[in-house]
Amino acid sequence: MNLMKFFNRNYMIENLKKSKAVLAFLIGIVPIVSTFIYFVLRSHNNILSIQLESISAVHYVGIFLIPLLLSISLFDYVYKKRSVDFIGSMPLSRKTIFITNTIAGSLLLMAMVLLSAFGIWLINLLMDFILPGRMLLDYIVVWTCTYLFCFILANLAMSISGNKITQVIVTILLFFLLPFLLQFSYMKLNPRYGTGYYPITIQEENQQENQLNSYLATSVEHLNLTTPYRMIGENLFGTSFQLWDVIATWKMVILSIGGFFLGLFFFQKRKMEHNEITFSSLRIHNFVKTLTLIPVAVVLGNLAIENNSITLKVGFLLILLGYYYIYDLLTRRTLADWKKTLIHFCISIIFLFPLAILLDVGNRNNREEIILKEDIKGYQLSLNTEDVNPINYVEVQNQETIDMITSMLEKGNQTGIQHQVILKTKEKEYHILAYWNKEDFTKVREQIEKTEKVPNPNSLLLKNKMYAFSFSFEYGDLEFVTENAKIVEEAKKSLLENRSCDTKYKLNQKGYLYAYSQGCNQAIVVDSCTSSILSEYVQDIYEKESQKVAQKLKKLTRTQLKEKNMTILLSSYYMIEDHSNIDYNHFFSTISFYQKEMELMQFIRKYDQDSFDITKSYIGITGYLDGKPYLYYTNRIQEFMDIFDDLLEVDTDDIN
Amino acid sequence: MIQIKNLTKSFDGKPVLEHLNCTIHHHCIYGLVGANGSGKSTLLRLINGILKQEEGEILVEKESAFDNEKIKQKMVFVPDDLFFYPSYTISDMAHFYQALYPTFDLAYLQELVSKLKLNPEAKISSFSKGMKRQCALILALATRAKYFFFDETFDGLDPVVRNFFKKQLAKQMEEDDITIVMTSHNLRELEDVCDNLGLLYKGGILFESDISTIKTNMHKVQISFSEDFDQKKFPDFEILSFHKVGSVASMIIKDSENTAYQKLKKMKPLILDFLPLTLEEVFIYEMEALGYEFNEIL
Repeated sequence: MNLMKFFNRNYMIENLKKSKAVLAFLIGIVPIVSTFIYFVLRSHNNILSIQLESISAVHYVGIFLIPLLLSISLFDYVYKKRSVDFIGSMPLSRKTIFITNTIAGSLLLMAMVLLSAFGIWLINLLMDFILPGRMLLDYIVVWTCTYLFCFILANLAMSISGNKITQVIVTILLFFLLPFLLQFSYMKLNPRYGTGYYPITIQEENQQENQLNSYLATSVEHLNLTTPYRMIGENLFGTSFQLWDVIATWKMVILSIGGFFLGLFFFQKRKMEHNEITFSSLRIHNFVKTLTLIPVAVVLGNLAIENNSITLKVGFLLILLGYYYIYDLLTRRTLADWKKTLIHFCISIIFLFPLAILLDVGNRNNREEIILKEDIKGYQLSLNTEDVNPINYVEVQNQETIDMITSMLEKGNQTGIQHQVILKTKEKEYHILAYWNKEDFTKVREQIEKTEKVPNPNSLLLKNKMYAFSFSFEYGDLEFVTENAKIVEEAKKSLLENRSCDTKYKLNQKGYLYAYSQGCNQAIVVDSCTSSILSEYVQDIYEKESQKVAQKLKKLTRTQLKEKNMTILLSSYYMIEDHSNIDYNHFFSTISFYQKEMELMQFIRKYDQDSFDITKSYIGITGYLDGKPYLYYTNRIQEFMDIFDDLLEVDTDDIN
Repeated sequence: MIQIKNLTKSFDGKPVLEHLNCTIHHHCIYGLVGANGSGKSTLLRLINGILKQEEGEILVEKESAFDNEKIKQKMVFVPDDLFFYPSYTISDMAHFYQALYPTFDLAYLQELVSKLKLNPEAKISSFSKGMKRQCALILALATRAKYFFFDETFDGLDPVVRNFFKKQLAKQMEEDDITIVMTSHNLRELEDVCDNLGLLYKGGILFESDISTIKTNMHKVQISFSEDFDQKKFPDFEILSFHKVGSVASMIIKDSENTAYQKLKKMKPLILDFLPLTLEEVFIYEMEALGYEFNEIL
């Protein structure tokens, strides 16, 4: 079927023209706010904090408002007899009206998403910010699909609703009811879904349950429900929300196609005389009213079940009954026959009450789950204790190694370092928090290295396109990022070849290599001293920027030094002449800086006019005024240390 | 030609039109009369494809008009309850019509606007009720459609403007070979405009005829004889109504004027006068002849 045959360009232009102000506002507000949010976000955060979710903040609200308001604006004629007569008598078929308006709305929404992406791109261009192009592409794809899906559902709701408020209610039902019921049903069948960490025990069949060797684990289950629901539902039920979900996106595409044809069918069959009322049939009105009660009834019903108070139960019923009358008043602008409403209410409650019991989430199973040894198909874990990125985990499939890890897990938690182990059965994956001592973990690592192909820890991540390299002068706001292909490639090579640090490069700076994959912006640490190209790049920046950075740091302090109530803290790091970082936190952890506040202030004031060279040894001091940090850097390390001499002696004595 | 066959439409289970049959011939002005709620507007909304019937069919030029863009480009409907987009001017509305009617005549619209002294750039919402009706009419006329449907459109217009539009319609009848269907609950409104009249009652066309025939075949006669007489004295005539006051009788007869005059003259009456009938009177007598009380219908 050639749908474009039913697209009327003239009608589209005229229909858009009649509500141009509203449409311009709806379509313009999102890109403006989105660009502003991105600017603020990017100005105050480093590159890694820019994720698909964070640059999409405005859409979390927009997705529930814009498509619905757009649909109402384009199809508002169906809700008034006068406009129905006017448009209905025009030489336009209903198919043309529906298809033209759907295309018009879709084009506007696409333009809105593209404008938002353009705004982000423009900010990057003007402010010299870096953002992976792929992320921007994903942003466009995900939000275009989501907005179109919502718009088509809103149009479907319009096709069957008699007034605007009913369209809003039906749209909300279409957005949420089915996924809500699906998620609740799944929750009922899988009682641990969304409960977070719960205890598990690994044991053989017929073995007596042993509470001692239990672990905390969580099973990762994604239902891939549609995005508008996931944005609320997944947060509501404790599962983590990730915007990038290929299955959910495809689902939305398929449902959009289905929703479009269903909407078209209902629109063609629509009884145009039924406007300014909810539905043509009172039965449908009552049915929809009952549907709106499901989430309320489930929540209230659960509370009522858990609570023995009769007053509370009667109270809930009265609230629901009140809702019944208010709903009629809002949607039909009249109070329905009270007797009929009461009878209908009773019937609805008879149906809803068992549903509330069926979907009883209050009584969820948090008890220990037993995993039989025979069911374990494999493991995934990292050989690097610091690595929490599952993408870099080693896949364990050798039976001997599986048995070894299983026997270690059977022992239960030990004291030691936390490891995240992914246990795989045929049906599920469990993320287990296991505490192993160093000796046991060394055994596991040796066994894995013997039996499994251990890839470069970063090899999986490095398969992705790396788009930037960055390093910073101790503090995040002094980050230097480059997209230079040569630098990025060199950093990648350095990691792939597992290069170690070359001592000939005095200046070593911890840098980050950035990759974007499946909706996630990720970074891998790479030392600049592992490559001559990286070292030269870092050295070059240091030389060029150090004075500028030093002046910036000093300036901030000078302004604040006049304040007497400034709290002084020592910054975490200081730089000595061989340019290696030393963590000073542990050194000063037992010393109260407050005791030396006056001396520190005097010290800062005394040497305030000193020139500061960032390429030489220096120490950083952070001052806090009204909760905001201000930085002071000095190359006078010995004078600074002298202030703490007596405290260090006392402290050492105390420890002894 | 518009053919309506076995048309049935109900609202909330209550039938408004039931098995209605009607034919509106090409190049005529068809008047549809009926009491409030008799289904006149519903019939026009059905013909124009705004509503969909439950049963029957409506054919315009032998094609169904419902969702038929090609046919609907030849039709224009001016409803009783007018609609204009908020903040639109006549020019804006003209652009809207122009976008949808390929035959829209902008020059003609400007001519009408100028003749009626309307400001094309003023917001229609600021116009009086009568001016809004003028706007709707000029927009409809400028479409140069072949079928015009006016739902009580002329009610509420002042006589000068009403005559202006009647003249315009007559001009278009001559120039463009158009068909007009107009409704009213006031017979006098339609009397001097329509060629055909249909009376809508209880969901069906109760009575339908062309005005010229109806008027030439029905006469009001005042007659008196030297001797006493009653209705039986006229066995050769189809008498629809007979009233006698004193020696003078008033009767409504159905016959051609000439034949009836000749036949009555031969009876040597003392007084014989043929008086003109208003359309309302024609309808009253026709209804009475069918056994209906006219006042109950209209």
